[in-house]
Amino acid sequence: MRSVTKALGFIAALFLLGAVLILTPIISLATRLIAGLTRKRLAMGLALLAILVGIGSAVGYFWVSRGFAEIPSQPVDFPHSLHAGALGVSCLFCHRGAATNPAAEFPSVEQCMFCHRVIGKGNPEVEKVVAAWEAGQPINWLRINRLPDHVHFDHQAHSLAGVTCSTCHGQVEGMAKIHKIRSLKMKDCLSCHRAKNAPTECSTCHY
Amino acid sequence: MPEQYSLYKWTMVIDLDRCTGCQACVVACQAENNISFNTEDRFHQHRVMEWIRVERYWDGEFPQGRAHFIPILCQHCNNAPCEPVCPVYATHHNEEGLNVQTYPRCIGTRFCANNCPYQVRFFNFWQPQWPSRMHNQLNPNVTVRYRGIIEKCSFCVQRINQGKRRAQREGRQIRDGDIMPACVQACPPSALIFGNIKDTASRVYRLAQDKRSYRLLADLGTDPNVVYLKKVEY
Repeated sequence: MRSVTKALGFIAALFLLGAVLILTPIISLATRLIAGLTRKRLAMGLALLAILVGIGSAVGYFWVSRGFAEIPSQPVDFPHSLHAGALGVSCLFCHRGAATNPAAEFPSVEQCMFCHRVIGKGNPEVEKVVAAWEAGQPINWLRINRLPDHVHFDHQAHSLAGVTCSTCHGQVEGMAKIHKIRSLKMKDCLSCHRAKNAPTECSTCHY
Repeated sequence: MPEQYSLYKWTMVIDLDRCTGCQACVVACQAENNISFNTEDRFHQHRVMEWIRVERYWDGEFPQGRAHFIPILCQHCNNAPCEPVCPVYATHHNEEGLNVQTYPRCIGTRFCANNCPYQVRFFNFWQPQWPSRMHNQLNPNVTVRYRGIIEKCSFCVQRINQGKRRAQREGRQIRDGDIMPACVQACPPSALIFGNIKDTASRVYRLAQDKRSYRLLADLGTDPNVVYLKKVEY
Protein backbone atom coordinates (compact mmCIF):
# COMPACT_ATOMS: atom_id res chain seq x y z
CA MET A 1 0.00 0.00 0.00
CA ARG A 2 2.87 2.35 0.86
CA SER A 3 4.38 1.94 -2.56
CA VAL A 4 1.04 2.86 -4.14
CA THR A 5 0.82 6.11 -2.23
CA LYS A 6 4.44 6.73 -3.13
CA ALA A 7 3.63 6.12 -6.79
CA LEU A 8 0.60 8.41 -6.66
CA GLY A 9 2.69 11.07 -4.97
CA PHE A 10 5.29 10.78 -7.67
CA ILE A 11 2.65 11.17 -10.40
CA ALA A 12 1.19 14.23 -8.66
CA ALA A 13 4.64 15.77 -8.33
CA LEU A 14 5.27 15.10 -12.01
CA PHE A 15 2.03 16.77 -13.01
CA LEU A 16 2.81 19.79 -10.84
CA LEU A 17 6.29 20.10 -12.26
CA GLY A 18 4.97 19.69 -15.81
CA ALA A 19 2.27 22.26 -15.22
CA VAL A 20 4.78 24.79 -13.88
CA LEU A 21 7.23 24.10 -16.68
CA ILE A 22 4.58 24.32 -19.41
CA LEU A 23 2.45 27.10 -18.00
CA THR A 24 5.28 29.55 -17.25
CA PRO A 25 6.34 30.05 -20.87
CA ILE A 26 2.72 30.12 -22.01
CA ILE A 27 1.86 32.88 -19.54
CA SER A 28 5.00 34.82 -20.33
CA LEU A 29 4.33 34.39 -24.03
CA ALA A 30 0.77 35.59 -23.67
CA THR A 31 1.81 38.69 -21.74
CA ARG A 32 4.48 39.49 -24.28
CA LEU A 33 2.07 38.93 -27.12
CA ILE A 34 -0.17 41.50 -25.57
CA ALA A 35 2.82 43.82 -25.28
CA GLY A 36 3.43 43.29 -29.00
CA LEU A 37 6.02 40.59 -29.62
CA THR A 38 8.34 39.95 -32.54
CA ARG A 39 7.70 36.86 -34.61
CA LYS A 40 11.19 35.47 -33.84
CA ARG A 41 10.61 35.41 -30.12
CA LEU A 42 7.25 33.77 -30.56
CA ALA A 43 8.91 30.98 -32.57
CA MET A 44 11.54 30.54 -29.88
CA GLY A 45 8.89 30.28 -27.21
CA LEU A 46 6.98 27.68 -29.17
CA ALA A 47 10.17 25.65 -29.70
CA LEU A 48 10.84 25.74 -25.97
CA LEU A 49 7.28 24.59 -25.33
CA ALA A 50 7.72 21.69 -27.77
CA ILE A 51 10.94 20.61 -26.04
CA LEU A 52 9.31 20.69 -22.62
CA VAL A 53 6.31 18.67 -23.84
CA GLY A 54 8.75 16.17 -25.36
CA ILE A 55 10.63 15.73 -22.09
CA GLY A 56 7.39 15.38 -20.17
CA SER A 57 6.02 12.73 -22.48
CA ALA A 58 9.32 10.81 -22.40
CA VAL A 59 9.22 10.70 -18.59
CA GLY A 60 5.58 9.68 -18.76
CA TYR A 61 6.37 6.95 -21.26
CA PHE A 62 9.02 5.41 -19.02
CA TRP A 63 6.63 5.56 -16.10
CA VAL A 64 3.89 3.76 -18.04
CA SER A 65 6.30 1.26 -19.60
CA ARG A 66 7.37 0.13 -16.14
CA GLY A 67 3.77 -0.87 -15.65
CA PHE A 68 2.97 0.96 -12.43
CA ALA A 69 0.51 3.39 -13.90
CA GLU A 70 -2.06 0.86 -15.02
CA ILE A 71 -4.40 -0.92 -12.67
CA PRO A 72 -6.34 -3.11 -15.09
CA SER A 73 -10.00 -3.92 -14.69
CA GLN A 74 -10.40 -7.66 -14.48
CA PRO A 75 -13.36 -9.35 -16.18
CA VAL A 76 -14.65 -10.25 -12.71
CA ASP A 77 -14.01 -7.74 -9.95
CA PHE A 78 -12.24 -10.23 -7.71
CA PRO A 79 -11.37 -8.73 -4.33
CA HIS A 80 -8.13 -10.22 -3.00
CA SER A 81 -8.71 -8.03 0.05
CA LEU A 82 -11.78 -10.13 0.89
CA HIS A 83 -10.45 -13.60 0.04
CA ALA A 84 -6.85 -13.35 1.19
CA GLY A 85 -7.46 -10.52 3.66
CA ALA A 86 -10.74 -10.74 5.56
CA LEU A 87 -11.33 -14.46 5.04
CA GLY A 88 -7.66 -15.39 5.36
CA VAL A 89 -7.61 -17.92 2.52
CA SER A 90 -4.05 -19.09 1.86
CA CYS A 91 -2.48 -18.05 -1.46
CA LEU A 92 -1.82 -21.73 -2.19
CA PHE A 93 -5.49 -22.62 -1.88
CA CYS A 94 -6.15 -21.06 -5.29
CA HIS A 95 -2.67 -20.65 -6.78
CA ARG A 96 -1.88 -24.32 -6.40
CA GLY A 97 1.35 -24.47 -8.35
CA ALA A 98 3.17 -21.75 -6.43
CA ALA A 99 5.08 -24.17 -4.20
CA THR A 100 5.51 -27.10 -6.56
CA ASN A 101 5.52 -25.78 -10.13
CA PRO A 102 7.32 -23.15 -12.17
CA ALA A 103 3.95 -21.44 -12.73
CA ALA A 104 1.80 -20.38 -9.78
CA GLU A 105 -1.31 -21.05 -11.91
CA PHE A 106 -4.58 -19.18 -12.16
CA PRO A 107 -7.44 -21.09 -10.59
CA SER A 108 -9.90 -22.51 -13.08
CA VAL A 109 -13.58 -21.57 -13.02
CA GLU A 110 -14.25 -25.01 -11.61
CA GLN A 111 -12.00 -24.20 -8.67
CA CYS A 112 -13.93 -20.98 -7.97
CA MET A 113 -17.10 -23.06 -8.01
CA PHE A 114 -15.78 -25.30 -5.20
CA CYS A 115 -16.99 -22.56 -2.86
CA HIS A 116 -19.25 -20.40 -5.00
CA ARG A 117 -21.68 -23.20 -5.70
CA VAL A 118 -22.88 -22.40 -2.20
CA ILE A 119 -21.37 -19.09 -1.14
CA GLY A 120 -22.16 -15.64 -2.51
CA LYS A 121 -25.37 -16.37 -4.42
CA GLY A 122 -26.88 -13.14 -5.74
CA ASN A 123 -23.65 -11.16 -5.73
CA PRO A 124 -23.41 -9.77 -9.31
CA GLU A 125 -19.69 -10.56 -9.53
CA VAL A 126 -20.19 -14.12 -8.29
CA GLU A 127 -23.05 -14.51 -10.80
CA LYS A 128 -20.53 -13.77 -13.58
CA VAL A 129 -18.45 -16.70 -12.38
CA VAL A 130 -21.53 -18.93 -12.21
CA ALA A 131 -22.53 -17.84 -15.73
CA ALA A 132 -19.05 -18.70 -17.04
CA TRP A 133 -19.26 -22.08 -15.31
CA GLU A 134 -22.67 -22.85 -16.78
CA ALA A 135 -21.58 -21.74 -20.25
CA GLY A 136 -18.42 -23.81 -19.97
CA GLN A 137 -16.31 -20.76 -20.75
CA PRO A 138 -13.05 -19.75 -19.06
CA ILE A 139 -12.66 -16.35 -17.43
CA ASN A 140 -9.98 -14.37 -19.23
CA TRP A 141 -8.14 -12.88 -16.28
CA LEU A 142 -5.68 -10.17 -17.19
CA ARG A 143 -2.09 -10.84 -16.36
CA ILE A 144 -0.39 -8.34 -14.07
CA ASN A 145 3.22 -9.49 -14.04
CA ARG A 146 4.38 -10.59 -17.46
CA LEU A 147 8.01 -11.45 -18.05
CA PRO A 148 9.57 -11.57 -21.51
CA ASP A 149 9.87 -14.96 -23.17
CA HIS A 150 13.62 -15.18 -22.59
CA VAL A 151 13.21 -15.02 -18.81
CA HIS A 152 12.08 -18.06 -16.88
CA PHE A 153 10.83 -17.37 -13.40
CA ASP A 154 10.27 -20.47 -11.28
CA HIS A 155 7.81 -20.08 -8.40
CA GLN A 156 8.88 -23.41 -6.92
CA ALA A 157 12.53 -22.41 -6.68
CA HIS A 158 11.66 -19.21 -4.87
CA SER A 159 9.25 -20.80 -2.44
CA LEU A 160 11.84 -23.51 -1.72
CA ALA A 161 14.33 -20.75 -0.92
CA GLY A 162 11.86 -19.31 1.56
CA VAL A 163 10.84 -16.24 -0.43
CA THR A 164 7.31 -15.24 0.55
CA CYS A 165 4.67 -14.33 -2.03
CA SER A 166 4.50 -10.76 -0.72
CA THR A 167 8.16 -10.14 -1.53
CA CYS A 168 7.26 -9.77 -5.20
CA HIS A 169 3.47 -9.48 -5.21
CA GLY A 170 3.11 -7.05 -2.29
CA GLN A 171 0.45 -7.07 0.39
CA VAL A 172 -2.17 -8.74 -1.78
CA GLU A 173 -4.48 -9.19 1.19
CA GLY A 174 -4.93 -5.42 1.25
CA MET A 175 -5.55 -4.95 -2.47
CA ALA A 176 -9.15 -4.52 -3.61
CA LYS A 177 -7.80 -4.46 -7.18
CA ILE A 178 -4.64 -6.41 -7.81
CA HIS A 179 -1.77 -4.41 -9.25
CA LYS A 180 1.94 -4.54 -9.85
CA ILE A 181 4.27 -3.39 -7.09
CA ARG A 182 7.71 -4.16 -8.49
CA SER A 183 9.19 -3.49 -11.89
CA LEU A 184 10.49 -7.11 -12.15
CA LYS A 185 13.17 -5.93 -14.54
CA MET A 186 16.51 -7.71 -14.44
CA LYS A 187 17.98 -5.06 -12.15
CA ASP A 188 15.16 -5.64 -9.69
CA CYS A 189 15.70 -9.43 -9.73
CA LEU A 190 19.47 -9.14 -9.44
CA SER A 191 19.38 -6.72 -6.52
CA CYS A 192 17.55 -9.38 -4.50
CA HIS A 193 19.64 -12.28 -5.85
CA ARG A 194 22.86 -10.50 -4.92
CA ALA A 195 21.61 -9.54 -1.48
CA LYS A 196 20.54 -13.11 -0.69
CA ASN A 197 23.54 -14.78 -2.33
CA ALA A 198 21.23 -16.55 -4.78
CA PRO A 199 22.64 -17.74 -8.13
CA THR A 200 23.33 -14.96 -10.61
CA GLU A 201 24.57 -17.25 -13.35
CA CYS A 202 22.87 -16.46 -16.70
CA SER A 203 21.46 -19.96 -17.25
CA THR A 204 19.57 -19.77 -13.95
CA CYS A 205 16.89 -17.66 -15.66
CA HIS A 206 17.83 -17.37 -19.33
CA TYR A 207 17.57 -20.62 -21.28
CA MET B 1 42.46 -19.25 -14.00
CA PRO B 2 41.34 -22.85 -13.47
CA GLU B 3 37.60 -23.33 -13.52
CA GLN B 4 36.14 -24.11 -10.12
CA TYR B 5 33.27 -26.52 -10.54
CA SER B 6 30.41 -27.08 -8.19
CA LEU B 7 29.01 -30.40 -7.03
CA TYR B 8 28.02 -31.28 -10.58
CA LYS B 9 29.77 -31.60 -13.87
CA TRP B 10 27.38 -32.71 -16.56
CA THR B 11 28.72 -35.15 -19.08
CA MET B 12 27.21 -37.16 -21.88
CA VAL B 13 28.49 -40.51 -23.08
CA ILE B 14 27.59 -41.61 -26.61
CA ASP B 15 28.05 -45.29 -27.30
CA LEU B 16 28.56 -45.48 -31.07
CA ASP B 17 28.46 -49.27 -30.98
CA ARG B 18 24.83 -49.00 -29.92
CA CYS B 19 23.75 -46.13 -32.19
CA THR B 20 21.52 -47.29 -35.04
CA GLY B 21 21.20 -43.87 -36.65
CA CYS B 22 17.43 -43.79 -36.15
CA GLN B 23 17.32 -39.99 -35.63
CA ALA B 24 14.97 -40.23 -32.65
CA CYS B 25 17.34 -37.92 -30.75
CA VAL B 26 17.10 -35.34 -33.52
CA VAL B 27 13.30 -35.35 -33.47
CA ALA B 28 13.17 -35.25 -29.67
CA CYS B 29 15.54 -32.31 -29.61
CA GLN B 30 13.54 -30.38 -32.20
CA ALA B 31 10.37 -30.89 -30.18
CA GLU B 32 11.88 -30.12 -26.79
CA ASN B 33 13.82 -27.04 -27.75
CA ASN B 34 11.36 -25.24 -30.06
CA ILE B 35 13.52 -25.54 -33.14
CA SER B 36 11.68 -24.48 -36.27
CA PHE B 37 11.31 -26.74 -39.31
CA ASN B 38 14.26 -27.36 -41.57
CA THR B 39 12.80 -27.12 -45.04
CA GLU B 40 14.50 -28.25 -48.21
CA ASP B 41 15.60 -24.79 -49.30
CA ARG B 42 17.29 -24.28 -45.93
CA PHE B 43 19.30 -27.44 -46.48
CA HIS B 44 20.39 -26.15 -49.87
CA GLN B 45 21.53 -22.92 -48.25
CA HIS B 46 23.37 -24.82 -45.47
CA ARG B 47 21.34 -22.94 -42.90
CA VAL B 48 19.58 -25.78 -41.11
CA MET B 49 19.14 -25.84 -37.35
CA GLU B 50 19.98 -29.14 -35.71
CA TRP B 51 21.20 -28.96 -32.15
CA ILE B 52 21.97 -32.65 -32.51
CA ARG B 53 22.60 -34.25 -35.88
CA VAL B 54 23.48 -37.79 -36.92
CA GLU B 55 26.42 -37.91 -39.30
CA ARG B 56 26.60 -40.99 -41.51
CA TYR B 57 29.77 -42.55 -42.82
CA TRP B 58 29.84 -45.39 -45.35
CA ASP B 59 32.35 -48.16 -44.89
CA GLY B 60 32.66 -49.87 -48.31
CA GLU B 61 30.34 -49.66 -51.31
CA PHE B 62 26.57 -49.70 -50.93
CA PRO B 63 25.33 -53.30 -51.18
CA GLN B 64 28.13 -54.76 -49.05
CA GLY B 65 28.98 -51.59 -47.15
CA ARG B 66 28.25 -50.77 -43.56
CA ALA B 67 27.07 -47.42 -42.30
CA HIS B 68 28.54 -45.81 -39.20
CA PHE B 69 26.67 -43.12 -37.34
CA ILE B 70 27.98 -40.36 -35.11
CA PRO B 71 25.47 -38.15 -33.30
CA ILE B 72 27.07 -34.74 -32.98
CA LEU B 73 25.90 -32.09 -30.57
CA CYS B 74 27.56 -29.24 -28.71
CA GLN B 75 30.53 -30.83 -26.97
CA HIS B 76 30.40 -28.38 -24.06
CA CYS B 77 34.19 -28.10 -24.24
CA ASN B 78 36.08 -27.22 -21.10
CA ASN B 79 38.44 -25.17 -23.27
CA ALA B 80 35.76 -23.95 -25.62
CA PRO B 81 37.01 -22.10 -28.71
CA CYS B 82 33.67 -20.30 -28.99
CA GLU B 83 33.92 -18.56 -25.64
CA PRO B 84 36.91 -16.22 -25.91
CA VAL B 85 35.78 -14.84 -29.27
CA CYS B 86 32.40 -13.60 -28.06
CA PRO B 87 32.63 -9.82 -27.65
CA VAL B 88 29.64 -9.61 -25.30
CA TYR B 89 30.13 -12.72 -23.12
CA ALA B 90 26.89 -14.20 -24.47
CA THR B 91 28.52 -17.61 -24.44
CA HIS B 92 30.42 -18.61 -21.37
CA HIS B 93 31.13 -21.52 -19.08
CA ASN B 94 29.12 -22.05 -15.94
CA GLU B 95 30.19 -23.79 -12.78
CA GLU B 96 28.68 -27.10 -13.83
CA GLY B 97 30.75 -27.44 -16.97
CA LEU B 98 27.99 -26.30 -19.30
CA ASN B 99 28.73 -24.04 -22.20
CA VAL B 100 25.84 -21.61 -21.84
CA GLN B 101 24.38 -19.43 -24.56
CA THR B 102 22.58 -16.35 -23.18
CA TYR B 103 20.12 -15.27 -25.87
CA PRO B 104 19.31 -11.76 -24.66
CA ARG B 105 23.00 -10.91 -24.66
CA CYS B 106 23.84 -12.24 -28.11
CA ILE B 107 24.33 -9.60 -30.78
CA GLY B 108 24.83 -12.05 -33.64
CA THR B 109 28.44 -11.51 -34.64
CA ARG B 110 28.70 -15.27 -35.45
CA PHE B 111 32.34 -15.34 -34.33
CA CYS B 112 31.57 -18.32 -32.09
CA ALA B 113 30.04 -20.32 -34.93
CA ASN B 114 33.10 -19.65 -37.06
CA ASN B 115 35.43 -20.72 -34.29
CA CYS B 116 33.61 -23.95 -33.40
CA PRO B 117 35.45 -26.98 -34.80
CA TYR B 118 32.35 -29.17 -34.41
CA GLN B 119 29.95 -26.85 -36.30
CA VAL B 120 27.22 -27.09 -33.72
CA ARG B 121 26.33 -23.43 -33.39
CA PHE B 122 23.47 -22.12 -35.51
CA PHE B 123 22.55 -18.64 -36.51
CA ASN B 124 18.92 -17.58 -36.81
CA PHE B 125 18.85 -16.15 -40.29
CA TRP B 126 15.05 -15.81 -40.13
CA GLN B 127 12.44 -15.26 -37.53
CA PRO B 128 11.40 -18.82 -36.64
CA GLN B 129 7.91 -19.65 -37.82
CA TRP B 130 5.50 -22.48 -37.25
CA PRO B 131 2.17 -23.32 -38.87
CA SER B 132 -0.53 -21.59 -36.82
CA ARG B 133 -1.73 -24.57 -34.78
CA MET B 134 1.83 -25.67 -33.95
CA HIS B 135 2.29 -22.68 -31.65
CA ASN B 136 0.31 -24.63 -29.09
CA GLN B 137 2.92 -27.37 -28.91
CA LEU B 138 5.88 -25.09 -28.21
CA ASN B 139 7.70 -25.94 -25.00
CA PRO B 140 7.01 -23.13 -22.52
CA ASN B 141 10.21 -23.92 -20.61
CA VAL B 142 12.44 -22.99 -23.53
CA THR B 143 12.83 -19.57 -25.10
CA VAL B 144 11.64 -19.23 -28.67
CA ARG B 145 14.72 -17.68 -30.20
CA TYR B 146 14.46 -14.74 -32.53
CA ARG B 147 16.18 -13.61 -35.68
CA GLY B 148 19.80 -12.54 -35.46
CA ILE B 149 21.14 -14.64 -32.59
CA ILE B 150 23.15 -17.81 -32.22
CA GLU B 151 21.69 -20.89 -30.60
CA LYS B 152 22.99 -24.35 -29.77
CA CYS B 153 22.52 -27.42 -27.62
CA SER B 154 22.10 -26.48 -23.97
CA PHE B 155 22.25 -30.05 -22.56
CA CYS B 156 18.55 -29.29 -21.85
CA VAL B 157 19.47 -26.90 -19.06
CA GLN B 158 15.75 -26.40 -18.34
CA ARG B 159 15.54 -30.08 -17.38
CA ILE B 160 18.69 -29.82 -15.26
CA ASN B 161 17.20 -26.85 -13.39
CA GLN B 162 13.89 -28.65 -12.91
CA GLY B 163 15.62 -31.82 -11.76
CA LYS B 164 17.59 -29.91 -9.16
CA ARG B 165 14.44 -28.27 -7.81
CA ARG B 166 12.57 -31.56 -7.71
CA ALA B 167 15.41 -33.11 -5.71
CA GLN B 168 15.48 -30.08 -3.42
CA ARG B 169 11.73 -30.31 -2.80
CA GLU B 170 12.01 -33.99 -1.99
CA GLY B 171 14.99 -33.28 0.24
CA ARG B 172 17.51 -35.56 -1.46
CA GLN B 173 20.54 -35.46 -3.71
CA ILE B 174 20.17 -35.82 -7.46
CA ARG B 175 20.28 -39.50 -8.32
CA ASP B 176 22.03 -40.93 -11.34
CA GLY B 177 19.56 -40.98 -14.22
CA ASP B 178 17.30 -38.37 -12.61
CA ILE B 179 18.06 -35.79 -15.24
CA MET B 180 17.69 -36.70 -18.87
CA PRO B 181 18.01 -34.37 -21.84
CA ALA B 182 15.35 -34.99 -24.49
CA CYS B 183 17.76 -36.87 -26.80
CA VAL B 184 18.84 -39.22 -24.01
CA GLN B 185 15.25 -39.90 -23.05
CA ALA B 186 14.28 -40.66 -26.65
CA CYS B 187 17.21 -42.92 -27.59
CA PRO B 188 15.74 -46.42 -28.17
CA PRO B 189 19.00 -48.42 -27.78
CA SER B 190 20.20 -46.16 -24.90
CA ALA B 191 23.25 -45.11 -26.86
CA LEU B 192 23.19 -41.74 -25.10
CA ILE B 193 23.85 -41.62 -21.38
CA PHE B 194 23.80 -38.43 -19.35
CA GLY B 195 24.97 -37.81 -15.82
CA ASN B 196 27.23 -36.16 -13.32
CA ILE B 197 30.84 -37.23 -13.82
CA LYS B 198 31.81 -35.92 -10.39
CA ASP B 199 29.70 -38.70 -8.89
CA THR B 200 32.09 -41.67 -9.03
CA ALA B 201 29.18 -44.11 -8.72
CA SER B 202 27.45 -42.79 -11.83
CA ARG B 203 27.17 -44.67 -15.10
CA VAL B 204 28.75 -41.79 -16.94
CA TYR B 205 31.86 -41.90 -14.76
CA ARG B 206 32.24 -45.63 -15.27
CA LEU B 207 31.77 -45.47 -19.03
CA ALA B 208 34.18 -42.54 -19.41
CA GLN B 209 36.92 -44.85 -18.03
CA ASP B 210 36.09 -47.47 -20.66
CA LYS B 211 38.95 -48.33 -22.98
CA ARG B 212 36.72 -47.63 -25.99
CA SER B 213 36.32 -43.99 -24.98
CA TYR B 214 37.60 -41.09 -27.00
CA ARG B 215 36.84 -37.41 -27.44
CA LEU B 216 35.90 -35.88 -30.75
CA LEU B 217 38.84 -33.99 -32.33
CA ALA B 218 40.75 -34.49 -29.09
CA ASP B 219 44.00 -33.28 -30.63
CA LEU B 220 42.58 -29.74 -30.76
CA GLY B 221 42.72 -29.62 -26.97
CA THR B 222 39.13 -28.52 -26.51
CA ASP B 223 38.62 -31.09 -23.73
CA PRO B 224 34.93 -31.84 -24.46
CA ASN B 225 32.34 -32.96 -21.93
CA VAL B 226 30.90 -35.41 -24.45
CA VAL B 227 32.60 -38.80 -24.48
CA TYR B 228 32.28 -41.18 -27.43
CA LEU B 229 32.66 -44.95 -27.14
CA LYS B 230 33.67 -46.99 -30.15
CA LYS B 231 35.38 -50.31 -30.52
CA VAL B 232 38.09 -49.86 -33.15
CA GLU B 233 38.56 -52.86 -35.43
CA TYR B 234 41.98 -53.35 -36.95
